[in-house]
Amino acid sequence: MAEGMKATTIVGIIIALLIGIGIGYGVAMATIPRAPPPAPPAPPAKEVKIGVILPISGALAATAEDLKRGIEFAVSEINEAGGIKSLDGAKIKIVYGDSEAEPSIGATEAERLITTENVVAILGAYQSSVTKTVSSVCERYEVPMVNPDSTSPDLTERGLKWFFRTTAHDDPFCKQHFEFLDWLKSEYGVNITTVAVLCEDTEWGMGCYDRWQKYAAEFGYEVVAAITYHRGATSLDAEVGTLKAANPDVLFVAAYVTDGILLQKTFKKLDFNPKAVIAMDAGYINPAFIEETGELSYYVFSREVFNWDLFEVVPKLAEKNAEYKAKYGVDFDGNSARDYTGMWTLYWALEEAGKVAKPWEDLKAFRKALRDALAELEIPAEELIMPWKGIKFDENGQNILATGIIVQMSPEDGKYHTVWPREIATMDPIFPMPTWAERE
Amino acid sequence: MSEALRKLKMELKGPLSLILLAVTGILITLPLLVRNPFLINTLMLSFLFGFAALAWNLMAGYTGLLSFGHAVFFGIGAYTTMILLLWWRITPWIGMLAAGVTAGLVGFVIGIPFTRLRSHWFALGTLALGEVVQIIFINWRAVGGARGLETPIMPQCLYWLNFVDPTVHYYVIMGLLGVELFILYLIVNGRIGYYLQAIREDETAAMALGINPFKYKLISITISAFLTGIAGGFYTARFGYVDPFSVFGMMYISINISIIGILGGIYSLIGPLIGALVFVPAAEYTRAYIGSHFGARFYGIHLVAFGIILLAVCFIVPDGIMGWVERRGYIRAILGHGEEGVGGGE
Amino acid sequence: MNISSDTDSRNGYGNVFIHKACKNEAENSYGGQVMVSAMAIAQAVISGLLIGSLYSLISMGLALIWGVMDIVNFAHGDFMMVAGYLTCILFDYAGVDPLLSVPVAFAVTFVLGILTQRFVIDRVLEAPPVSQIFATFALLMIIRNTALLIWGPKPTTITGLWYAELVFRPYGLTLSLIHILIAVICMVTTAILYIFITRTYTGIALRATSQNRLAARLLGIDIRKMYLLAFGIGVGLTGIGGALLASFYYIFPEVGARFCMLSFMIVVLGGFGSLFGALVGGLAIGVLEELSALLVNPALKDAIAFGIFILILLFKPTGLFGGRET
Repeated sequence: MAEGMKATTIVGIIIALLIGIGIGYGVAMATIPRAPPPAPPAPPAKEVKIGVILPISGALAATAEDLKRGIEFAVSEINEAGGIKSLDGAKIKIVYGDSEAEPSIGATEAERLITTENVVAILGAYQSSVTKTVSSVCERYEVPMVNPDSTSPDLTERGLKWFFRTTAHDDPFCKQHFEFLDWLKSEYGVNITTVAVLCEDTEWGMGCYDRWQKYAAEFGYEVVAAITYHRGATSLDAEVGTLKAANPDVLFVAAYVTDGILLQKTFKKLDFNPKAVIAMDAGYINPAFIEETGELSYYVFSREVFNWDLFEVVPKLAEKNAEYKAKYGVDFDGNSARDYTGMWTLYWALEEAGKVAKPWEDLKAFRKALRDALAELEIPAEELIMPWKGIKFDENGQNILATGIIVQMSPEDGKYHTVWPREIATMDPIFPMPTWAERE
Repeated sequence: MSEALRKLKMELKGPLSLILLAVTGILITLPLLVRNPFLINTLMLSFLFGFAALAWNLMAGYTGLLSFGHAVFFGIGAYTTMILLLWWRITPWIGMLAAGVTAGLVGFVIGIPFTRLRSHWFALGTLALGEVVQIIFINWRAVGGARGLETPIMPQCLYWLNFVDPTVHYYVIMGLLGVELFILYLIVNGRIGYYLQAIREDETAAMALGINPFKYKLISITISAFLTGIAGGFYTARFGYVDPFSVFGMMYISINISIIGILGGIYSLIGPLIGALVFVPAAEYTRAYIGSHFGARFYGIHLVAFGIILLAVCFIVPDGIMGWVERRGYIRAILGHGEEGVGGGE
Repeated sequence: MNISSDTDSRNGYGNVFIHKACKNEAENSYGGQVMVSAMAIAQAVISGLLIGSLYSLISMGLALIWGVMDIVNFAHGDFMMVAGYLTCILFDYAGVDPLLSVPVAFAVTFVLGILTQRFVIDRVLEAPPVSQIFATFALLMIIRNTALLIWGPKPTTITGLWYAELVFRPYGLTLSLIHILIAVICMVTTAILYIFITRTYTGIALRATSQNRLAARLLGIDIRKMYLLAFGIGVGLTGIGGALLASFYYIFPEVGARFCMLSFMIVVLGGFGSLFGALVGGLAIGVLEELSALLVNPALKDAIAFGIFILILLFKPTGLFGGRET
């Protein structure tokens, strides 16, 4: 026991000392007035840090790779051209935050990037659920956020002042689908009255689910089946069987790669033949899907944000894609192109903000200037590689000049070709879709 | 209860009070000393998971009921607080309490049939339950469904418990943790605690002694659910967004909590807290300084490492960190006696 | 071959399924009258039986392990995943048809199982259930994340099989050749297993061990060897399942999770330790899944299966054919 007592006493004394120091220091820090901490010294080679939050690890890692490529390509272009001119040629430095596809982790990373890394802005975060929490953090810290790749309409319905989304979202996309249907009806003289909806039961899928039905009602189409499914099903026979029995003219699908592949196989197996299948991007435009389904996905339509054949239509794209391909070995796709554009948007705003403030003098004021610059940004279509009319944000932070396109998989070469809007179309749509029997 | 209180008073006369004072002092002054929000954030998350793990351990360590479905209580707590906040503008302070009560009720209702299950069956049942509840919430459009529920932008004040800086939340969860530890101490060292451990050791023998296992298991489940629900409520207050994939997530909540618990030591009172203080910062810092840089290529390494550590724990130190510490006599040296209520297993 | 391409198959479901969607966004769109044809039900039952045979195979492995060793193997699905990847690799690099890789998958998984038993499971056999559960869980984490490190999260699948899309259409039903072949292989394997269990000395020894360990020991059966065998075979069966799965589904590191959960349910349903129970249970669950997807909201089909599982746990934990409890 005596030993125990001695150990106890020593421990006790040490602890008491620690407490004393701790409390004393704490009191000192709190009460004694001090000069404000000096501004962080300007780094030798001036640089401006931008935080990028992506699902770097986890199931969406492959997509994150894609997105990263677009961003890094933009940054290297900007830095090689001399950086941010209005900030004495400061270079852009990307600091990554891994959201691990979890909204709370994304928020934590955003906070870390803002408070520890002192980034001037945040770019990200692909998944709408993560973007929700990250943008919330940014709003409260008063840091501008540019969102190039999340399509949930909810994001620009919250009245945030520091959130800017460059891409169009699922609401206009769904509406566009129906405008396309109307046009198909009149152009091809084929009657379309019934539609069906098949979506995965996630945030994104359910968003499409709701909006397709909303616009179906608005445009006067009858929804004969509306089905949700859980990702990763071993068999979608029952779901497709139900669709088949409902016999819609057109089927709308919101699915990711693996389920999309299973769906196309099941359509053939159960001989499901609507007049058209219209997908909502995601799985259906993924190269893995295209490769795996091959002939099975011919004639399928999909909403896209971007397509390879736009090189003929968007001049800047041809030039940039050649460089991109030379560097990375792959063409731009919807994801890398959107994030590339998002980074450039940020750059243009940085140039404007740099005229008014400097991040190393007053970070808070600079972030505010950046935010104002984004709010007033107007970029013409010629500067972009996307098939948009330009960039201009409304009071909710949504880029109202962004549009989607509709592509169709051609049976001639197994690639997607743009069919809508007609001004930039490179192919006439094939409608109605031949049945499986007719394709033999 | 009074016996436990008396014991606590006796304990506090010894070195325990110094240690408590020291630790609390350091933790309280930490945000003032170290202006690193990431550290405070990490500690806050550690406390949150520790809070939930402690609640989980009341069932697992003390009653022998291994639950892999604690996300059910966490999620219900989170949703309750969110709904009260969104629909009736009720402050999360009350929301958290309501969350606990709701989760506790759910725990009680689930517990009634589930207490009949033993070990493996119970674990499997909770696993399935977790999945069922998640699917229900995914399809329950009235409370957001797959799209989740998000708080609008609210002013940063104590009423909404909405601060962008983690400091206030850090203090709040620390306070909650203190209260929880106090409650758990009383339970574990009181009559209920002894009955629970008796049931854990040998249910039949306990019955022979006149202990009603079903009643006490039910008590254990309800209290555990209540506390976990509060943790869920805190999550809502902090992050402002709930969806079925995150708050009912099996890997992110249920499995995390149980691994933290077993790592820290399920047969000790503060074991799960220690586990959280080790596990959570490790995960956070690995992600921030390694994962974010090297990205996908090495994703999974830290999980493989955790798996190996877990295996080692199962082989060598089944009572986790605290068990190891106890056996080496460190506790004995400092406190002058061993940890009560420790030891379990066949 | 009887592959019909009748133009009538466009409405092969009898067209009696009426389904009105609600125009109101917030409501679930399954509010409407539902009348299902007998044909649709028959199709669901048959599809269910076919896919159920695969479930049975995987579950019989788990039942064997559980029965002989009284251990819940949480990493069960991950052995299947490993076998699946192996099959994909064999196909990609050596052009080996997945259905032909079955023996290879079994052999490799069998060896893996024996090693796992020897170095991991053995150590926790006498430990409290907590340690056992977490040990197999740790195994799950290690196997799953090592696969993640090696192969990445992207799903891999086997394409280009010459028979992948062949479909039979007797009497308006739709049966895909792949599923039929898989079911056949499962049945053959079950038959082999049955012969092994009832006609060979080792098999009988295994059964004896599962019934009463002490008595088996007294009879001179080497328990250690029985454990190795049980785990190896149990996991090997799952490996076969993995190879078969790769032929029509896709393989990714997390694929084991779903099948693991399913096989737990099936083993409990069929009765702990009973191979026959696992067989019947697997078929039953397969049919249940398809039927509930047809008759009730497909989005809830998993929830229904799990819900029934919980009910069985609560009210008849010994399952349909089970003998012992703990």
